[in-house]
Amino acid sequence: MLIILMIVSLAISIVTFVILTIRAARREMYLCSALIKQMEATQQAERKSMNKSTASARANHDVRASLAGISGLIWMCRVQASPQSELVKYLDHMESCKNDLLDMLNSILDENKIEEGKKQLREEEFNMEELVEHVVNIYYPNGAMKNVDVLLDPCDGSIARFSRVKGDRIELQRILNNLLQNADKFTSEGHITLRAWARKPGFEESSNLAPNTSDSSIGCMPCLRLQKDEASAEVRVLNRVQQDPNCVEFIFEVDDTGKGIPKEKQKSVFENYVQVNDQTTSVHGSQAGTGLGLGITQSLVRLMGGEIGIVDKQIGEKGTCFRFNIFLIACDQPQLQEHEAISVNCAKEEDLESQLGGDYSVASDNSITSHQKSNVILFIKEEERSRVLRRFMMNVLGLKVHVVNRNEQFPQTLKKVKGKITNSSSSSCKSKEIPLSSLDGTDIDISSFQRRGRGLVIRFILIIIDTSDGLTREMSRAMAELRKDFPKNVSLRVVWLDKPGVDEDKLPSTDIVLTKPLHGSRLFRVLKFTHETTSRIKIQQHPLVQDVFVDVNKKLPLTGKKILVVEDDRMLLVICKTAVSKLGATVYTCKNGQEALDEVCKGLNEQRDIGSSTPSPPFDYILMDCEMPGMNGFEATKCIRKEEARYGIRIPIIAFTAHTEKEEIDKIFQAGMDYYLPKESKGEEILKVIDYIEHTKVSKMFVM
Amino acid sequence: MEVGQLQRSFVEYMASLFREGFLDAQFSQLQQLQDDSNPDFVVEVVSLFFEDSERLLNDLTMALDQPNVDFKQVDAHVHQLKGSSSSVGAQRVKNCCVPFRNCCEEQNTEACLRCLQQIKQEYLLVKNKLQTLFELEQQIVAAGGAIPMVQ
Repeated sequence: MLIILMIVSLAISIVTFVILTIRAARREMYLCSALIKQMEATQQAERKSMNKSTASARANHDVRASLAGISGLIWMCRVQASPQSELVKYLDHMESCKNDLLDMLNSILDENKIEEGKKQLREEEFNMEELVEHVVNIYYPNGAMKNVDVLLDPCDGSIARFSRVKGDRIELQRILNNLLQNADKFTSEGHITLRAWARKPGFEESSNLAPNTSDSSIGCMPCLRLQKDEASAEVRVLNRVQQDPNCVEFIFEVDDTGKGIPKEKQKSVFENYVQVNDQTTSVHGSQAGTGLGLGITQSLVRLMGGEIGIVDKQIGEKGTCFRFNIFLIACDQPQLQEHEAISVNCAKEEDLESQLGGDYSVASDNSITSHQKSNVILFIKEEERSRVLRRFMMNVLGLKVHVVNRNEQFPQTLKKVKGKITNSSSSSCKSKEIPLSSLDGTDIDISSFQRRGRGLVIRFILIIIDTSDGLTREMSRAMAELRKDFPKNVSLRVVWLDKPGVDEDKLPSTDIVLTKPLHGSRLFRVLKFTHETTSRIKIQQHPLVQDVFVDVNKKLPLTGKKILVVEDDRMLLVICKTAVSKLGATVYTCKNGQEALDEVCKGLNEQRDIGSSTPSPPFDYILMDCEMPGMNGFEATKCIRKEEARYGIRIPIIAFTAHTEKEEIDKIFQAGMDYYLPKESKGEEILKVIDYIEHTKVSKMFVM
Repeated sequence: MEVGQLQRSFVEYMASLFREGFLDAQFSQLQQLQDDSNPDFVVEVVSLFFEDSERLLNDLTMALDQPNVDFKQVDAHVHQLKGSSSSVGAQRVKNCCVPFRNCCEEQNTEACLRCLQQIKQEYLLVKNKLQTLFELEQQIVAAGGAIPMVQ
């Protein structure tokens, strides 16, 4: 009985076992085949993706090659076109269309790269102050043309403290460029402000971490880093930078007074290919963007660990304000460095003392009453800029600022301020005055400046005047009044924006003349050297900031060249002579072809007499009118060429002609001239032709 | 008059001259060539323009008064006038020259006389305008102000 039971149970177990095994095997086969299918599908997807990349790389390459071809052809057409014709305008337009295409191509490719997670951020040291100033200055001229002021708001001055950072400069510049470009496109009046400030990140990483765009199931927990290598590049970079103890958070705002973005569209602007408002683009013609900009900007910001959004403005204010933050690694700040002007930590309430990196400080605690503070008189045309400067100087630097809005207010403000300081200086015997001469050439020692109660109070009056609309007589008189009998213990600095009110030589050596815009490094220089008693600073050009300062020795394009102008019409001769002199060349003039020929022969003979083996031409270029009484331009040229041949020289001759028909052009080249210009040409066109001639000379040399 | 007011009038006036087509970009280029080392450049050039133009207009009047009009000569004069008005930026004068040359080609004395009349009118207009402009400049300088740069 038992045995049968055992056998039966054995049989059942065997059968069950077999069934289970079979099932398992079947499942395994099924899973295997499914796996194989999946693998194949994956491989196919990967191949497709690779093919897509190769195809897009090839397309990229081909498109770029074609664009380069177009670019070259446009250049060649331009060279052959007569400089003033409609054709050149069309060519310019073509060139700008080609540039737009290139930009779009780059945007698309970059967007792809970022989406695929392949975008790698570079890490290089750069200067944040210079970068923001550079970017603002790019858009300043554009804005100035439309009467839109583009300014840089230093906020609390914290950027100066953390100016040396490590990160991807090019991508950050791209982000700022994009936002400023949008602001510029959509703003036709008012102002565009770039604000930038920095702070050490607090321990609120959860709020700072960007929401992961990839579908990684890791989530945003910083402790689970590097577990999965397939984690998107974003998460890795994010965590790495923020883990660094030197991490600094930079916050930027681009604020404009333009058209604004309606609330309902605000979310979608960041989605690619969504352009907010099509009507405005008609104003700027070919500037119809593809709308890709903000999408990439958002991706880049997120790559750098931050987030970007639109800030709500106050009621009644129009325009848009974008704000974003990123994280970068700060490099060590060397103490008392030359170009770092101001850094003040406003968080401290007891005193505003200068922190590391600054060699300038303002004592502004309770012990100093208002009449002992340094005063600034600000007379700037642009409203918002005036406001920003005033706020910065008052809140951050602790200076007393008087704002002048109209010409009429200027003299009375000057009188008031002078009155104040004369009174206070005569009554303040508490402060020991140190003769300014002893400060010559030394950097301001911070510690000496902090001896507030007992001692050294360097006060100054800084006057910033915008003279772009000219200086009225009352204002000049008021300035002269101010300078007379100025108290000795207060230093006076006057900054003229754009042009000095009077002849530059008549200005005292402590005044400076700056070109607009007044922000960034120029502003800091102005504020910094109010402490220096050295003579007027020859403002050197900072290597990265490409601003133009008033520089007496500006190199002109044709400096050192000798140019002969041959023209019988008095008026045209005067115009041409002035235009060429303005380019820096030395000008000689003749009234007809015979005179020109005589001049050239004389010059060549002199060379022979000197006996030089390689005679240098008497003139670098000749500008020759075609139609003149007596010997006209063509005959003169032919004779000159004959003479030259004897010395082996060829002076480039440019024809001035009123005709642009083919026969005339042929005559010009047949006579031996090198190129031609319309009669009314002035500086620009003459330069272009000279450039072209130089170009062809060089290329001919290479051909030989 | 107060300097600020004078300067504003100057800027307004200059803008109106460009707007109404009396002056064009060539005039702006002339202004750009003027600087502190060459402060009277524009006045100098414009004076030469006045002299040349008046001479040419006289020559034209005489040439068209002849029983047998030498149209080639007339055409040459108009061509020269076109050139100088173009260089100085006197747009409306320049624009009158083109139909004038067409009339010369057709050898139509009547039409030429009409064109001459029109050119004379335009020339007098622009001369008047420029002289007013220079007077305004002088007033500003006399009042101690700086001449505003107009872009």
